[in-house]
Amino acid sequence: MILGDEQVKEYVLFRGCIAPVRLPAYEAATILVLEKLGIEVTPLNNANCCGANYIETLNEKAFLALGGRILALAESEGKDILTICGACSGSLKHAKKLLDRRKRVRTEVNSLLSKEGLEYTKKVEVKHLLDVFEQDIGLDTLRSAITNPYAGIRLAAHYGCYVTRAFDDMNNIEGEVPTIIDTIIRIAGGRPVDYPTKYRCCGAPILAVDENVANKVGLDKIRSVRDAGAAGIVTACSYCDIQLSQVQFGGRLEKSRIPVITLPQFLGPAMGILDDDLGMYLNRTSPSQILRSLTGVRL
Amino acid sequence: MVRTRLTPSSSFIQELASMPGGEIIEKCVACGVCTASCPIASGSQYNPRQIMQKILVGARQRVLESEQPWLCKTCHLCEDTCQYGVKLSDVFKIVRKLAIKEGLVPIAFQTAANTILTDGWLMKDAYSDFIADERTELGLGSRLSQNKRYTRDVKSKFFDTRG
Repeated sequence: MILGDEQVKEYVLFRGCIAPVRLPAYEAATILVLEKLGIEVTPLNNANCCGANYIETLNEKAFLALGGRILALAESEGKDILTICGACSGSLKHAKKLLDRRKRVRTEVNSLLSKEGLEYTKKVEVKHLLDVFEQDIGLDTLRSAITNPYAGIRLAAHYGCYVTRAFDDMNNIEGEVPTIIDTIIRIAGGRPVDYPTKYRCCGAPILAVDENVANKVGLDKIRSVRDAGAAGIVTACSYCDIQLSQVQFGGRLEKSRIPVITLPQFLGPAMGILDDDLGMYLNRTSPSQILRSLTGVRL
Repeated sequence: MVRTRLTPSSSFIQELASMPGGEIIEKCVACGVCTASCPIASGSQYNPRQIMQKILVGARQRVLESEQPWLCKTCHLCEDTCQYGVKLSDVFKIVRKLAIKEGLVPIAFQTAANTILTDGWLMKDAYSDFIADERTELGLGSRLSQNKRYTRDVKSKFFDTRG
């Protein structure tokens, strides 16, 4: 929804299933960091699961019915949707694309929604956190908000597949390599590193079907990051973040875990937000090594 | 101009090609770049080229009974590297659709789908008072209950009638 320059951009946060339970700190940090950058975020309550890969695979209409309700709820509040999980983001963008194109199924979904007085009319937009940085905030605004930059710490960006891969739903250009997390790391004073498995999956979506394979895929990534000499991994998806953390607790790697930190938790301290407010103490892999690189006065 | 056919043909290919989005399978020459680029394939049994080969030679039952098409996580990395523009995740999606029709759905998918539609979300059982306290400490709302009335409606409309 288009707003004038003077108005604050507002979003409803679709929390998804994982972030509110496994990563509440990611949720809190997102709200605080965006608030500092002039974006107001309120949670979308009484929502439901987007259905993700599971429902989409089994029954596309059911998948569109689940996504349609989330879109309609946001419309009833007159705000666009912000997602912080790759799976939710991919699902909702895909559901919107199909619902917008197919009138018959939209009508069918709307008749289910009418029981609650809801209706989806194609108005609402779905944005992932990275889209908001790129499209709404802009890099100049972000740059001017950095008060305590990092002193050149080497960090590895992890791009979630459903956030950035070239589906046409994502408005990404085929084969284009995402750079936004690397750019943000640099703006905050860090040094983004390249590593061989940079654009690969974290393995999380496969956990339910084959845990061993999922862990192997995740550990491949961790080893590759370590070999590149990075001091930490910056994520922008709840599922990727918990996966890249948990694979490091299998025993063998215990002595040298690589901290995994969500993008807003990484940015917050450089913008003068307190560690405790960002829930840093809840991170499974301690981010202290990353935080020690911060310059300026720390409270 | 009629394109010279580079791939084998089988009744299974015809069946898949007749489904929406299925025609792209005919472009595959089984070169294996997909497997080389696949994060799941490295070090596991999963092998997208092998599934494509089985499809191309028409091994219908073996493909439908295999768990392999369910291991594709639609990360689309192989599609960025495929020189022939094959959308493998779409092909596997169609294969899964056929498998579903024949009642061949891995338990993990059935369980997750059932949880989502019954509880309204995936994490009801994982949410505890302890996590609720963490949320309160962070200034976040602790009432996470999601709408299950609607998801149950969806379940009975789209799933229960067909078992």
